[in-house]
Amino acid sequence: MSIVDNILRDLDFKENEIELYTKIKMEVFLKLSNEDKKTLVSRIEKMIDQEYSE
Amino acid sequence: MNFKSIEFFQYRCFMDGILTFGEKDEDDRSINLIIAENGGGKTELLFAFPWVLYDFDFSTLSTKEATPYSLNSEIYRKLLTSSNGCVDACWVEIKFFHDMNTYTLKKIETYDKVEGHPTIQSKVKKELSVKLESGVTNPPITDQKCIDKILNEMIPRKVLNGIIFDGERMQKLASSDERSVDGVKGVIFDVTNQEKIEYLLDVIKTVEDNINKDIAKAKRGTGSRKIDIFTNKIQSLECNITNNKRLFENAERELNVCKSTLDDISLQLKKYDEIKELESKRIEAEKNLKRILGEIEDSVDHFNIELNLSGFALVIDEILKDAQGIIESFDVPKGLNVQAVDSILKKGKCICGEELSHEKITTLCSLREFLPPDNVNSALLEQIDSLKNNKENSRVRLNQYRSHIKKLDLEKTKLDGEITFYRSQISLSKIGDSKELEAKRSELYSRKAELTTLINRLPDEINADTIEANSYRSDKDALIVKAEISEKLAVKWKFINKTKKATEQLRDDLQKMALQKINENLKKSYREITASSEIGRDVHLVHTIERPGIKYRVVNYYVESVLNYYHNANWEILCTKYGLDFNNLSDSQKEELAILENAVGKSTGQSKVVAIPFAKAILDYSCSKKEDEIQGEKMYPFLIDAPFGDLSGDNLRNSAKKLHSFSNQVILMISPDSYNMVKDYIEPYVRSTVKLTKAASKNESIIGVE
Repeated sequence: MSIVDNILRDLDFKENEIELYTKIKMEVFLKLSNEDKKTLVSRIEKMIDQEYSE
Repeated sequence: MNFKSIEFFQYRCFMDGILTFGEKDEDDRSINLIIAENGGGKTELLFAFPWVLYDFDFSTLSTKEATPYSLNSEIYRKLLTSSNGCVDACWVEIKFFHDMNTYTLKKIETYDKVEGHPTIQSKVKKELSVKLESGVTNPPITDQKCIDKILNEMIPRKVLNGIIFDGERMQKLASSDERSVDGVKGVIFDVTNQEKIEYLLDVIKTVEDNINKDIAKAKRGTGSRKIDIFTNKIQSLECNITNNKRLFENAERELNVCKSTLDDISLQLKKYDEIKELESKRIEAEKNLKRILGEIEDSVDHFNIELNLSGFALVIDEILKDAQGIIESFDVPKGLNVQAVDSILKKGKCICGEELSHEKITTLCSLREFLPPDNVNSALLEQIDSLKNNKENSRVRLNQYRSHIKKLDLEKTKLDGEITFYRSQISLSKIGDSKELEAKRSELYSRKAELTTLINRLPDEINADTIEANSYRSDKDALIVKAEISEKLAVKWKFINKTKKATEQLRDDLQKMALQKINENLKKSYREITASSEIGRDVHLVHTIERPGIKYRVVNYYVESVLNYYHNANWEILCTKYGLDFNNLSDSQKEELAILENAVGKSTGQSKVVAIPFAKAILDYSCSKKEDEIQGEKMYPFLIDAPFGDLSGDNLRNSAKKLHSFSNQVILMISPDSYNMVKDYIEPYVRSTVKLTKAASKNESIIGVE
């Protein structure tokens, strides 16, 4: 189990939350150099909205 | 990745030329040697890499503040004094190898002397082309963002900072004061790629802030209190609406009554007018009656007078008839009268034609004196005729009087009837006082106006209240929806808050682990380099004591001293000194406190001997497998400038001996003197050698392959 998994488990992340967190993390890391923060934040908010609107 | 070459054109102090680099070969040769005297361009070469890759700012280099431009100084100065419109350019091209592909990155900076500008304007253009393993070369990419993205994947900016060690940086790392802390902290921040995780944290915090704002926004209008307020307002408005509706109905009813009463009053007043008219007519009739009665009285009087005067004539008809017969039977010439005598006298002759004598004339004249104007018969007859005429006239007049009296009597009778009618009508009408009625009517008119205004106003008020109530209802509904939204936001906030905590934890854990690993690497490298010369000494990177100026400090210490101190230390006092919580003091912190208390001063050489293992520790860490996907684990070249300057003895030998193992590609910049000192240890591992020579006439470095 990776360090991230341990942290997420300790903080009671559910399966869908772990998935969402991983997606957010990758989104940020992938877009680090070529996208402005506002756009990135907006997309992450949409991801969260989508997850919690279901 | 490793560098293949770097080529210059009119770039800073370099004469146009190219330097090529190799990576570790089968003979373990990894060092690319750049030999140059001080001021020969070693540092310039070192920073040419970050300038091309990530637009390094020359003005941040000490002693280079005066030349913060890439163009060769001499050309730059010429351009500065040239006429407007002159243009010049420089470029640097780096070739590097990564994942079996060869990349060529060319950065061109054009300088333009623009009219009206005191300084020279510059414009940067980058081109990145890739030659694939297959030999195919892709068309050059010129989009800056796209180039940055590709470069960031291959050699992140921060990693680049972690593999370039110039003299200044080494000096900073080696110093015993707090400057070393900043240096170490900076390198660790770079090499652990904390920027990524800090950026992740920053983004998460922004999302959290936005959710908080949404929650605050939702909360501003939510909460049962707010809903209750709206409910109360709606109830109050509904109450107003009901009251106003009732008021409206009552007003309408009252208005109808008012109208009806007013109609009655109007009717009464009309009747009153009618009665007034009747009264007036009655008065007029009575007046007429009075006049008629007077007239009757007069007529009767006239009749009576007439009757008195001429009434007898009416009854002497037979007498007159008899008198007339008698007269007619008498010998009285009819017509003998004064006129007849006068006529005879005038003629002077008798009727028989005989001339009248004086005597006769005197007789006639005497007769004339006795004769009536007419003769008696005539006079009587005339009198009888006159009486007859008078009788007729009197009859006519009496008839006239009688008719007139009759007529007047009729009129009187009529007027009596009228008066009786008027009196009866007036006595039948039971109407109040007209003034009272007028007053009441006036009052009712005012009330009617009030009611009309009210009736006109109330629907507007009812409508306005209805609209307001509907608005509150809609706000209330929105609040209820918002309350639901708040619940959703709360769920999202809970998640993002956990995410923030997780990321902070991850950052702290990764940093902790990275520092532990770097500390281990540092100790290992230090021991390797200082094996025989520094017996009993060790080095430590302070990383568990979170205190500015203490954390990230690289300290030298004697192991034995620390061990002795550890067993006798008063941790409570130490905690107070370093601002730590005694109750939560960990073993690692105790160890670090003992090390800090037993730190020994570093000589310049000792400092340098710490800096080199630190650089290796950093590089080893960069290349090692990490606990997460945030930090890379790629092999990077190691670029170092003048590492041996202050070393001597075993430290110098060991550092030199170990340098080739730092990376698959070491680009070492060194002065000829320093090189001569370590030549025996370095030379077996030298892959390529380039000499940078300062041109005698110009302030330029000539690149020459040895």
